[in-house]
Amino acid sequence: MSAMVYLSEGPGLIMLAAALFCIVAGTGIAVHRSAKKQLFGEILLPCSMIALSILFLFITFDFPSEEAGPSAVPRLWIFWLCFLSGAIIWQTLKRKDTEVKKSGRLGFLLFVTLILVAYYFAMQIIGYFLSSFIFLVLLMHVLSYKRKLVIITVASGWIGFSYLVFYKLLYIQLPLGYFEYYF
Amino acid sequence: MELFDSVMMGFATIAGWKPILIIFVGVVVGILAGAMPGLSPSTAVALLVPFSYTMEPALALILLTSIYIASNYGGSITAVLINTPGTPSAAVTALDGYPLTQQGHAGKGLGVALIASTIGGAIGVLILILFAVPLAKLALKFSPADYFALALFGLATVASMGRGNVLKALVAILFGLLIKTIGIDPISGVSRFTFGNDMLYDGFTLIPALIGLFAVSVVFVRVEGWTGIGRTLDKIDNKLPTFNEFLKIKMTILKSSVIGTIIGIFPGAGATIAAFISYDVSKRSSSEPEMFGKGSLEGVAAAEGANSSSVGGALVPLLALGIPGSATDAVLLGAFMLHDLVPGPLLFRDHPDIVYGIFAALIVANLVILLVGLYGNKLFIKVVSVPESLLYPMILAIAMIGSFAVNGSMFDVAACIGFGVVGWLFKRYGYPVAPVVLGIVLGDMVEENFRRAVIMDGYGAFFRDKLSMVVLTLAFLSFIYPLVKQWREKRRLKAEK
Repeated sequence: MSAMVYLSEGPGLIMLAAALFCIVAGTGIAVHRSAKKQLFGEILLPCSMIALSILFLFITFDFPSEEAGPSAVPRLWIFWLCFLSGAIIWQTLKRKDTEVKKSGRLGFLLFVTLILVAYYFAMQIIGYFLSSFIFLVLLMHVLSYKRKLVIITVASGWIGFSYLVFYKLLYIQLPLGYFEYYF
Repeated sequence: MELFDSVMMGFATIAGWKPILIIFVGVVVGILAGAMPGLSPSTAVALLVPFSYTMEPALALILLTSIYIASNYGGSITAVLINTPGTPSAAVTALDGYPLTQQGHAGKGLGVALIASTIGGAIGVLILILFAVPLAKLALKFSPADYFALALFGLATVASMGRGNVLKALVAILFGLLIKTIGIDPISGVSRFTFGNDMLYDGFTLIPALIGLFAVSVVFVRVEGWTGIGRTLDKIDNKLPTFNEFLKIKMTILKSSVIGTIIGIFPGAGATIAAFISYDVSKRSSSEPEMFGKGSLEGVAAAEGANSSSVGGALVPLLALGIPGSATDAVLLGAFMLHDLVPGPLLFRDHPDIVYGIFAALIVANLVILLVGLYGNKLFIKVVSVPESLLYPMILAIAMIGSFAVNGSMFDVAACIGFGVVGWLFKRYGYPVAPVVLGIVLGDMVEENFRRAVIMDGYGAFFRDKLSMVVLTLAFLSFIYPLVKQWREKRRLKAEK
């Protein structure tokens, strides 16, 4: 029991998370090198669910133990999540038709996601208005829209709309970054 | 006869250009606020409370209730057109509304949403007028075990969302339920799964999660399949559904309106649960259940009829007993008090003009919604006629500001992006995302009532209470039925081979 409590917080929890990550990654590599390579994602997703459940389960050992206490319901969900994820893995491995939907442009998707993440950080540094303008112009360009005047008009229109409606009318304190002084 | 006189008195209260203008303004503001992700009905009502302070009490409350009922319809516009539910309950509308838009039938999707909302809203108000007091008293007799059973019945709706793989739908809902346990435990106050991050003390906010799972994930899916050409959706028509199509869904609208009103009466249940349960019931009783999730008009009608009628239901405990059943009702309660009015039985006796004025205003507001919707839909449809290369960046920008606007927190924006990735992964591997939302919505209700019932009466509480026994049995059958159906289907296919 003390080992479980150790793994439920602090360095023990970090070790547990690292170990679970390694197991999931190892499973991923093993599947990728096996004959069931095409089921990589289908197996890895429920595996990640099980890993997440185990991590959460260990954290519950740190909660006060009492009847119908704070750990009761999370453990119930964790049990069923593990059980059903396991059933999905079993079902996937047993499946005879191994035809899986082809991957699309994952590199392009990653690039767009990175632009979105950069926008998130830029909002806090250069403020919502400037970062949104750059984000919209850049993403429309990346998605190969050609008419520059339309791009500039749409991006400017959105900035104007969000300034008037969200900032002025609804008093939502949008992040202003370094430009806070000017507003 | 007394009731009839009271209703007439209500209509007398709203007779004149001023109340009608206020209803019109309330409906327009409500539709716009509902359509804007991040602005919930409660936020829209709260924002207008200060403006109503100097108005006469009856007019102020007419304005606020008009916003309330219209914002529930407004949420369906962006749900149908760009798969971005403006309100949590509109997530259910998006399940069939967005596929309709993808097939070029945005007009039909919006038209059915409009008609179902209007009829649902009117039925909700009618039930409110007729049964406000006795229904509110009945709802108050429900024990935690009954509420737990009701919530579990709500969860059971998930089993029918699996589209051939019930296990994946169940995993999705369990994921949502587990996510909902993050934060401060509602009963003992213990911090759970927060990893020391104080932003997680209140758990994940629903709206950013919703926007991420529904809107951001769709953009990711489209970007993954990007061909390099920013095409426009082909042949978007703004044609309303035909009269025959309406006749086909009339029973669905009626059924969902009654379900929505009844569920709306239970404090804490709300429009989202009403929409999910109504959707499930309609799918099970439909002659074309296979069309649900693929652009079924019945699906849109079931969701919208229920969420709009739940407004009337939610006003029952508020007006009759002074108990707010939802966040918007809590804001309305504050507005009542601001004008020195105390909702409850005495309000009916001392201020029947105000109470029945609100009822009459809600009926008129439904007609105004119909009018604004009929003319506005043509304008709204133009949104999806823009090229995808312009539309998707705009959806992401709306998603970001919508997530931020809820709490003014950048953490919510990050959560929205995170849920977008989760939604994309789920969609990629055939897991439905709606059950995750259902899990997040119902998580607290299930847990709190389960634990309260056990603490008060032990584990036997659920079996001693007759009502909870009946509802639990129904929930169990709802879970089992799709599994048995799937198993039978597999056996039949095997035998055919």
